[in-house]
Amino acid sequence: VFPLTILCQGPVVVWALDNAKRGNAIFLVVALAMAMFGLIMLPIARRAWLNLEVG
Amino acid sequence: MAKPTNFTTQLGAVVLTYVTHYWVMAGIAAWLLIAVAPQIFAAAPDNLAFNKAARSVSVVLGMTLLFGSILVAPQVKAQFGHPRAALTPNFAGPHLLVLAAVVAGFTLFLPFVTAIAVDLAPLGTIALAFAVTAPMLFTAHTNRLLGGLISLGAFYTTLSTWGMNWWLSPAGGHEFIHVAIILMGVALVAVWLYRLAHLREEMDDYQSFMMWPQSRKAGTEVSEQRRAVAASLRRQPLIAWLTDERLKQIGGFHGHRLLAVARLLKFGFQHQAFVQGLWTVIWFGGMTLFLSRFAFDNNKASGATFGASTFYLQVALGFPGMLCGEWLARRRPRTSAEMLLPLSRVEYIDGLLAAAIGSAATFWCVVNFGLAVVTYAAVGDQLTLPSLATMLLLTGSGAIGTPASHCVHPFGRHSSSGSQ
Repeated sequence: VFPLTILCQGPVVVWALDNAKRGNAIFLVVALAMAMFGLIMLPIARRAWLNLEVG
Repeated sequence: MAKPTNFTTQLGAVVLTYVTHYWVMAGIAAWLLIAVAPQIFAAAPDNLAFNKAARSVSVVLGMTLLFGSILVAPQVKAQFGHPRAALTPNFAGPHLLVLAAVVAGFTLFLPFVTAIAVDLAPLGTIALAFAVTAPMLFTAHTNRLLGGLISLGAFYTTLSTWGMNWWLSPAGGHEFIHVAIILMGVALVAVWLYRLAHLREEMDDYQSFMMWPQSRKAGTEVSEQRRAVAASLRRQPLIAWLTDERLKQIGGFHGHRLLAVARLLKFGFQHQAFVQGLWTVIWFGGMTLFLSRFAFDNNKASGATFGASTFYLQVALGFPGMLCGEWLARRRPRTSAEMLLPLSRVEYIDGLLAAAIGSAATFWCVVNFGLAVVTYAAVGDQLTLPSLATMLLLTGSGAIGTPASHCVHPFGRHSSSGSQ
């Protein structure tokens, strides 16, 4: 997932920034989507770490 | 009794070790397709002005050599920094021969073909290839910065009109210096090959910092590897001083508060987020300022200057989250030992996540402060309060979103390979 994220995220952000310069609020949607993705994943990751099998 | 292997069979086996890193192969294929092919097409038409053709060299040749050197050095370190290099009969011969052929391909064949294809000075192009490759091989081998700086310096000069003419113009008239650079490059590569052939466990460059999977690096025994890493650290006064100063702050462990636990666990990450952020600022800030001041099309009207800043913006966006995940993934092999600490599992995991998030936040602050300063220095007139706020919003949300996709989940390939 990581290379795909980096490949997509960069251009999307530049595009969003370009829109912001022209006064469009599209960057807010992009920012919200990125933050939501992280916030949804955080408890899932925490649960996975808590159930980690060690040995 | 096993049949003795002949030289040709050994050569074939060595070549196989170069072509069986499938992900690296896929990356190279993608790189050729996405970055190099358009540059070749752009430079291919006849009667193209020298300036236009020479620009493609920075991508086709410079980037290929930079990344090629960074990939080749750990590859051969994994071969020679291993007991089998000393124990296997006739090990050095075929391995050195294949390596010499690869380096000759990088430094002689590729620049020569490029020079002929786009009508540049062959000697200058080969000298440039040596100036980029040989020092970077040393940096990737010894993990010391100086060679890399020389290599990057040579690479970046080709992005300016002056540097491009000096290296690549057929009418340049610097043949004598170019030949001297080529000879120096050949000597450096020869020294490197000699060092590889005589690499022994007692030497501090026996280990490799950059091998996949990370935790096994060159495949040497772990405690030996730690000893070698510690020995190499002693030779780097700045890093040693920074590490010492940082570790002095550890102090005692008081109470079971989340922040106290997180503060303590933060010392288990390889690097200090603040220092790592500072390096990133210097590195990408310098690059952005260089591109905005000296590179082609550096007039503000063309928008290229702002483009240089958006490259930094992508770094500011991706790195904090990526490092957050990376720190956690590298911690995975040690979790079994750290679970013996006098903490409950919930306290430990929450503390670890808080430590990673806190470090990422510090890194984000440093990198964004640098981004604002660099953007102001490069394109001050375009840096308004709303644009700054937009940048912060985008890099901030990206920093939250990126670790989710990179290694935070502990069952990924990256982390599971670490248990030993």
